Amino acid sequence: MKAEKKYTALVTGGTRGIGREVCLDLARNFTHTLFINYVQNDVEAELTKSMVEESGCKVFLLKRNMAFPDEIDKMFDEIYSVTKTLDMFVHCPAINSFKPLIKVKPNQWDITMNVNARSFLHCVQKCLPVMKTGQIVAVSSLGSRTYVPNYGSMGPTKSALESIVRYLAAELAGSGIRVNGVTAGFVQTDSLTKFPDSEKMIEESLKRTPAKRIGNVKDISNTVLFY
Amino acid sequence: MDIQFSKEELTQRLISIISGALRISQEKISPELRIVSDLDAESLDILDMRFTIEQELGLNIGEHEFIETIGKGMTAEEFLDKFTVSSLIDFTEERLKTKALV
Repeated sequence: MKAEKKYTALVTGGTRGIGREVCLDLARNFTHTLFINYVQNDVEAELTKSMVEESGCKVFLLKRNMAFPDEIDKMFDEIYSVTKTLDMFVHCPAINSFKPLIKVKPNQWDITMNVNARSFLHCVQKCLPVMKTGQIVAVSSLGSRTYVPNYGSMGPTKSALESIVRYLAAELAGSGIRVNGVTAGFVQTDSLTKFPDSEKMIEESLKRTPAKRIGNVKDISNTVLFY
Repeated sequence: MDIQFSKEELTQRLISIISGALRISQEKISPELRIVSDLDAESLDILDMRFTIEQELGLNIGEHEFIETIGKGMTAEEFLDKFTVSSLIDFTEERLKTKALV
């Protein structure tokens, strides 16, 4: 069922991969105004903006670094200079390097945990004053609860993210705000190709997948935006 | 953010950032050292440094700008040889000058 496009949404890490697809689906089906956060790639961000605008959705690109709380505060200042309501927040940013957990250095732990997990909590805290009812979704990944080789700098951060989702879901239950996490398996994105031995891992995954295909960004976006 | 640095101040600031990212004492960091080959920085460490430089100095540095600027026209191997603490200081100094002109 197609809903009326009556919502305002924020997507963090929204200009590539799963985040971009979520933005496109939001714009096609739900939102008249979309705030898209990114930090690294201006070209991809502008491309995403133009793609999303084809749906007639008003788009604001917010180049703010999720690693830093004051950047998040500034991002919300920018959002609230435009709107006084937020109905949806989808959190997609993730950074990592492919290595075993035993090799993760303290600064690498900090930056991945801050970007992938802490920023989600901070953004939710900033959303709550204006979000009377709404949906909050965090995009997680397979390595949160399953060992994945060379996923040591990402897996624990996604576990933390999912734990934050559970606590927020319980704390906000009954408030009209729904909090969920979507844990994706192997998904065909640029990030997947950066995995060491990605072809072998995909092959192994396919052996255990009845549908004989790995996920794509549309699969994940559909799940994020279940309505 | 408008910050004016002398070369010495900028050098000290960047050594502090590199030290913070790599957990190496500042005394062990000198301009001629190669960031990857000598200081063992990994891609995530370089991302960490770039984010901190952006945050502390009010710059906006593109995803591939180190390699595209410092390593312009070089092979990956040549870039790793030229990507020294000194080259990062020079890069940042140039970016601060450009920013001041905007």
